[in-house]
Amino acid sequence: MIKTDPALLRMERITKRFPGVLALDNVSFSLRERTIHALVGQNGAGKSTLINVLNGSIRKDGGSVYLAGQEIEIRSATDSLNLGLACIHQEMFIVPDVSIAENVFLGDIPIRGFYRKVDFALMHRKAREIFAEMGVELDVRRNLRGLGVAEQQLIMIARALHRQSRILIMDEPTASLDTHEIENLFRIIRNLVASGQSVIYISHYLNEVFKIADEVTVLRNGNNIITASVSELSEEMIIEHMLGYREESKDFIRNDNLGPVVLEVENLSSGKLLRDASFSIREGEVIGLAGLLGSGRTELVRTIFGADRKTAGEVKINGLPVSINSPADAVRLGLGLLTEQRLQGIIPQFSVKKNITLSNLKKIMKLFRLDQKEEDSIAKQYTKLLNIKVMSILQKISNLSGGNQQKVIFAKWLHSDTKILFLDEATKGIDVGAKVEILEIVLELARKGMSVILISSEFTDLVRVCNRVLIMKKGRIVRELESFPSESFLQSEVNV
Amino acid sequence: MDETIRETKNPIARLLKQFTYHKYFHEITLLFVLIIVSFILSLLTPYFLTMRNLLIVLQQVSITTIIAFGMAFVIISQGIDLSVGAAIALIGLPVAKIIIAGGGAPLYIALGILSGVVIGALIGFVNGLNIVYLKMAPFIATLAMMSICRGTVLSITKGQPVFGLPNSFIFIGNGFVGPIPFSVIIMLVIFAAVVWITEFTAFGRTVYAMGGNEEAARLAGINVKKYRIVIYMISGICVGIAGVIFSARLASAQPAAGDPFLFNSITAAILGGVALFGGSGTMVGVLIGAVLIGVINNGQALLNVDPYLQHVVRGIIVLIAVTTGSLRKG
Repeated sequence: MIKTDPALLRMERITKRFPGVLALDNVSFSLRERTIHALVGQNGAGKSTLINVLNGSIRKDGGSVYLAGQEIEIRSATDSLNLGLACIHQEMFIVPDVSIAENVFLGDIPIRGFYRKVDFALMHRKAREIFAEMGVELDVRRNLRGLGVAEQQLIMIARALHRQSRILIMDEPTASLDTHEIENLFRIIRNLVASGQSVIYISHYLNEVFKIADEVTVLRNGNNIITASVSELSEEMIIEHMLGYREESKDFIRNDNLGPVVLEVENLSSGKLLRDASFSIREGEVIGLAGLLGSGRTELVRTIFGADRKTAGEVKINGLPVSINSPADAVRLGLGLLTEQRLQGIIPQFSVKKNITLSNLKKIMKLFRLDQKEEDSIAKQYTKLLNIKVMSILQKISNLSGGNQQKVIFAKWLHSDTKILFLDEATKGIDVGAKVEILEIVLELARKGMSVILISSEFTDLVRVCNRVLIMKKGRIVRELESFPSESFLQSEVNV
Repeated sequence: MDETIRETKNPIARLLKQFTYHKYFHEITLLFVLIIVSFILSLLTPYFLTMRNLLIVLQQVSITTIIAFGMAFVIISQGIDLSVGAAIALIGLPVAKIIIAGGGAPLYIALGILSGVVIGALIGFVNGLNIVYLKMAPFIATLAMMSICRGTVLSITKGQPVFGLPNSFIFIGNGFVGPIPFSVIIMLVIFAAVVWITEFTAFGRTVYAMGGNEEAARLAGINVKKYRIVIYMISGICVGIAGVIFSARLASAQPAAGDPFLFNSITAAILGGVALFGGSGTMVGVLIGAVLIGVINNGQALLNVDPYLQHVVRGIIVLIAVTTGSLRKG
């Protein structure tokens, strides 16, 4: 890769404040031409804020930004796009019902002639050229229905190329992709860089950073801790920079003190995605649910929890058949669900305190009225117990980082005296430090007698905490593993 | 509170910035506006700042305010109730008929009032059923109910008002207890009740949760279906009570009346801080908002402002109310 100096993009001493937090503290960041520069850091470290300053979502409070040596002001998303910066988010800004070509040309559709008609021929030709440059085969005339996340992402990249962007900012691009699609994406990124693009790559997956990036910058608490070439660093070193201390290799002690069977699921089916699933779980046990995207794991737990309607099958709690038709029924029976999308688990306008007590308001009632003192005390207890980083329990939950929000959701289920807890990707998109804490919380809960069903795509987590792992495929539970010596073992079992 | 504020050198600017984050910022600002408007009006006309006039203002807003309280519950939980105006007209009919049939006997008056409230609750119940079980959008369901109510009362009465309500009943709408109008007392009692519900009960918390994120509330174990129906019934009950007062005030059942209540109650709620997209707003704000609108209308009347122009002013108020709301969102 030909690297040229000076830096294509230079951000110097950038500062940004939000109520209660200094998100960026004199951060400097440079992107060299034709380089893939990874940006890593825990949630709350400032990665998203830095990117948002670049893409025009927010205005910096201080510092300067230079593009090809010239100082620039980014006041809006339009400015950012006009300067050649393109951001590829996790939310896809696409229009499903028009063609791929029109999506690529969104906002810039070519017209010709006296009657100002859309120039489809030109649009299709240019779109095909762009995809050819990327090395992608797609029929530009078809609409987006039926296309997966991977293809949608490629369309977003194509749009960026059409806009003559020089800098691509990719925010967690591989979160919803499978192995094959990730390889494809990396190939395309390398192609693009070879033909002149520069890329800022944000990711929680450090193994990917080592695979694709040339340079890496670690942010922590709004500071640029280190910028170095990837070859100079190891994963442990990066994690140490991210956390600020050396992470002791944790010895997770599984809970082997199991009680009687608390939950039995027999032949449970729901729509097309869950077929005839059966399993049981004991008191104090942690069961992992592994499988590829679409294997039915989320559907299984949602159906048991009453969030989705079951079409067949039976659920027994402590030996007695129960009828769970809604989450309200489930909560009453001592079940809890930590959803895959964090937004489904919190009320954004509510404070941390109000979110914690949400599922069991009865507990804080004193003779028809809510006991504020009791509520405060309970919220403070859980904040301390789970190490939730807040300035006050009255803080709005939307101001917390992902990891801390997740802990609040945990607190909610603890407050509701949950006995059987379903965790759907509880550690997804969460920084390293919080992830370890959450796994420890899970083990501690198991030791105290809670039964936990853990859906996770991170085999490391499953190996660490689970007593058993169930493999799901196409809506069925196909295998039950009592011993799983390593991550790669699990990976191969899932991919069989 | 944080560095941005600490950095603000000017102490007054700092205090103001801190204030914008206060929990009751909207309500306090609204109260300020009310005081300023009242002050200006008192300078423009000597008739405004009299005890008698102020109590009249309160009396005039009492009906709208009671409806606004119910409407606030609905809007906070991410819904809307368009049937209130027509429902008031419909409720007036059986109330009037029962009371007149009893010839002024207290039992019949009580029965009449009860029937008003019950019918209001029933209308709310049906609205709730349509929205929850037939999965109709609240806008559509309550719009349809509005048509049904209006059509029903107009066809039964053939558009003719029902006169002949006894004085003992009319007292509810026009009477005074000492210096205070009776309807104002009713309004304040209901105010106390809704403040209690929203601030101190689990149900109130649930209403805000449903408005903030309905799916999250459902997945947290809240019986969203049941509570949604209850919320529309609350609106219906408020309409029922308002309908009783309305009939008493007019000493008749007016099948064609009631439409302005819809616009005014929603305006009062929004001005009071209830966001149309749900999840926020307080009953205190609604009360202040309703009173503010009443004061502005009263002021315009005292200053002989063209009634059509008053419509324009009302529209401008709504614009201001909604804009300040969205500005605050950032």
